[in-house]
Amino acid sequence: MGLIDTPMLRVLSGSLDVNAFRQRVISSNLANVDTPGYRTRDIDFHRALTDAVVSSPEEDGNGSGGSTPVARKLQGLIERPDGNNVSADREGLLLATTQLRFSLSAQLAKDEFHKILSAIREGA
Amino acid sequence: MNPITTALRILPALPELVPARSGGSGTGVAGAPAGSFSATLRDAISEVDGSQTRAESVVRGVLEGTGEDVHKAVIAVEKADLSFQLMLQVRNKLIAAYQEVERLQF
Amino acid sequence: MNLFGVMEIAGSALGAERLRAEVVASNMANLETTHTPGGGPYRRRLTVFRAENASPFLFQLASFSPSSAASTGTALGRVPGGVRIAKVVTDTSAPLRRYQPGHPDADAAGYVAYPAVNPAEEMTDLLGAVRAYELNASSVQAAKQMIQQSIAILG
Repeated sequence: MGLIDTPMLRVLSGSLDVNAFRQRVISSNLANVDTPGYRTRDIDFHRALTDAVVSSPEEDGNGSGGSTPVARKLQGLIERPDGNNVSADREGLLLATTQLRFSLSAQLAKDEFHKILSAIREGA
Repeated sequence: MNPITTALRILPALPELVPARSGGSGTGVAGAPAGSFSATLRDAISEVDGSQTRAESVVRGVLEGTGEDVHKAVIAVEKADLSFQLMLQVRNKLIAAYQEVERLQF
Repeated sequence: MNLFGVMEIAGSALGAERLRAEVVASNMANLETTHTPGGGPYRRRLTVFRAENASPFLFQLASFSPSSAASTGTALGRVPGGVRIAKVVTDTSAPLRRYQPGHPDADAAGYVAYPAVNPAEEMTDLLGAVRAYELNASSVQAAKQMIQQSIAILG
């Protein structure tokens, strides 16, 4: 754990990572909305968030690392005659909410960094 | 905020530690506290170095397109920046305390 | 693969849907083409969509590997996690026959062969292409905004 680290920062960093990853999965689903036989994928969002906070993000020393969520095929979606089960509505909604979560996490991370800087300066 | 407050908490102890290190009369806090302060400062300096190396590596990854996310790079850069700021403050405190002690010793 | 790679995934879909729309346009334009250089009436064309390596394993592999294929994806035309038009095939359905004895392309019995293109079906296909295009354009926008928000963390 580095000098500059707080529980809040770990949570926010994890949230950013998970939401960025989910964005990739959603984009793949949307890209394949017309591909015959394609099955929608998604991550276990809450589990991924917990895992991201638990595993230390600086273990491998180059700023990346931590566990990557797994994108699994989703059950329970309606399948069209060509075998594709991508729901444009579901993916569209997720696209918007994931983006908002990312945005919120980014803004809070910015504020957290400001707080840390203030703490350092006020110690002076 | 624990690592930061830990680092900042040692700062008020500086006036006592400095005379101990220069061998003058002081409150006699020679051994372990002085050692732990210099160890902390050493850790802070190597931490700054480490975090800047990490930041450079992640940023390079983003710019070269080898798969790192921009937010990871940005956070690494911010952390490196703040580590540096912290170290600066610690150094400034040390200098200020030393100057104060110098004044006392005529 | 990072958010830039996401834009490439969506980009692959934009390209594929655009090509699909072009094929529909070609079909619509040739509704009445009774004679082609190759002989016979225009034959309806279809696009075949294929997912490009969209396995969960690849997502994990891509995020760890420094030489991620995503960075060279567009150069090869294949984007991992994206889509591509595998081929454009020709419909082998029998052409429609209309009785028009005076027509230059009429056969001995007086029937002219017309393309087996159903305008309603083509329009539906076109609407699908447009909708998918819009969805993926939103995807690009979302990725772009997330990158901008990341940068805004600085300072």
